[in-house]
Amino acid sequence: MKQFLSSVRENIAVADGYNLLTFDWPPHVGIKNPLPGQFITIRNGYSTDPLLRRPFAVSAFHADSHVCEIVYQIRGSGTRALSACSKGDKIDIIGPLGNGFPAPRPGRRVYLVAGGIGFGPIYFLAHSIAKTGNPPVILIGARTKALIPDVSYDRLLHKGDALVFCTDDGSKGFHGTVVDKLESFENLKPGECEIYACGPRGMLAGIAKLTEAADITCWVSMEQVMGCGVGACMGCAIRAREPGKYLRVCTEGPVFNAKDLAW
Amino acid sequence: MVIKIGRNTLKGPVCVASGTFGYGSEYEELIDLSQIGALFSKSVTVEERPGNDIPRLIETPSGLVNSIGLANVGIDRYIDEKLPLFENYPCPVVANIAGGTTNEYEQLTERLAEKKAIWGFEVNLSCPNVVHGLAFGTEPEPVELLVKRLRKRTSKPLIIKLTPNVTDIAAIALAAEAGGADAVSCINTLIGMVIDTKTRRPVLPAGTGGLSGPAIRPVGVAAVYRVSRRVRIPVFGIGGIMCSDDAVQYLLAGASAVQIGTGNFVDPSLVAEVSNGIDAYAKDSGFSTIEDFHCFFE
Repeated sequence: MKQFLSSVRENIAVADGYNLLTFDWPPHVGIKNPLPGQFITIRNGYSTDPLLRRPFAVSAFHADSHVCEIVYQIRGSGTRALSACSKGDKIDIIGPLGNGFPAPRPGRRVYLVAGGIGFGPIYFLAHSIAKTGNPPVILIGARTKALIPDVSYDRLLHKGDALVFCTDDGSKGFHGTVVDKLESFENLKPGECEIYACGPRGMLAGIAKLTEAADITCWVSMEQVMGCGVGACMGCAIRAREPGKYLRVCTEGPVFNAKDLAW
Repeated sequence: MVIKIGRNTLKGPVCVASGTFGYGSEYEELIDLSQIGALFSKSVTVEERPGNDIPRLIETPSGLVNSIGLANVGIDRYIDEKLPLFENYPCPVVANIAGGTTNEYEQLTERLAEKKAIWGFEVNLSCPNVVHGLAFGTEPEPVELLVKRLRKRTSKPLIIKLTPNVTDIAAIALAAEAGGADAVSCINTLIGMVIDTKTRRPVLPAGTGGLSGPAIRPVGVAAVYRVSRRVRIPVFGIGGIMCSDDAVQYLLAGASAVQIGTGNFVDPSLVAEVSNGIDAYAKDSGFSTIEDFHCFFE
């Protein structure tokens, strides 16, 4: 991880209340490239209100042009301030942070599941896995069509891929949640597939329950309010499966094996 | 500028506050630890502690309310795993110790008193986030008695961290000095509460937490001002430092050194910025010692 100043290239709306921020990732020695599942923290300006840096999962990284992207929901004072940034503005970045998604084991069918705000890391992982020639099934869900990010899905649509949009109100794709859709697959068998998920806690709990019952490996990317983002403050703890134990989202995560967490 | 603490010295006035810098290794990739006057490590307790239930953090206007609950590895693992790291750091490490009883404070002091990797002690008398809260920090007499007992067990610098959640913080500082403390740190967090109006319950499971950040800076500066006029031992100023001008306010109020806390979360490069800023301010003002900051008003 490094702390560095970056220039904003673009900051545009991609869905109702969601923005895509594109910014430089300087090719300096010592700044590693972000991996799917990893996150960054951003400080935007010198105001002390909002005070803390904000964590965001990386949604794309272009190694050739050294450009990084995040898709974020505008939902509080920090993201509102970020949404006001425009081309050329400087933002203070620390990253890459956290562990990232482990690679799927060879021969496993891969299911990638994103709900709402969980879109970014799954979108990044989908592109990374699509390149390996092991086409994943991708489920992207939201309450309604207007909340599904309008970004390029071209490289996720090549032969063999299954990209399914799911909306609670049926306004786009499958009528139902991503958990409903996942449950409809008949070939979710232990040892044959692996599931990667990011989204609201209720959705992740639903997937954790389903995969636990079916004895399928499930990786979830978690969210929590963060203090330092680097493992020092113990503030971003979540409950571990073992009673009375906690795990830090920033350091032990943000990606966890679902069976290690308390749901 | 050299800072005298008891018979020892720090090579710079800008330190990092306990609980905001982990054990140091967390920040090693981000900043050069040699810029730190002293690294105050995460509070260590006799037993390992998993910490409080979640959520543990809430942001407030220019502030942060935390309820970490002294999550830490415990003294055995602190000695086995953290001391070897500290030995290789280019800055001194102060062990922040937290006990539930006098005996626990004594044990922690004894276990670390002879360790080379530990430069000194900061005694956390005032963590507001532990359910069986500590009475030590809020009355002068128990503070003096505790400090006396710890003083017998170490010749290393002994720094007492004061809580602002008292009527007269200077009285506690005087008690620490009378007990043989080499310095006091002021201030720890202020007790705070945030209520979720939808659930009609406090956001933190413990109810209250500790407020830190720039919102409390004027409280910290006033506490340093009041304490430094009553005691002869040096005072570490803590609370909401976000730039070198904030740190200079603490020094002018009577502090001999400062600790950056929540600011480390916001900008890990703050230590270097504040350190350089204090040097520049001293140079512009013709100051050559920390004492030169202390004589401008009563």
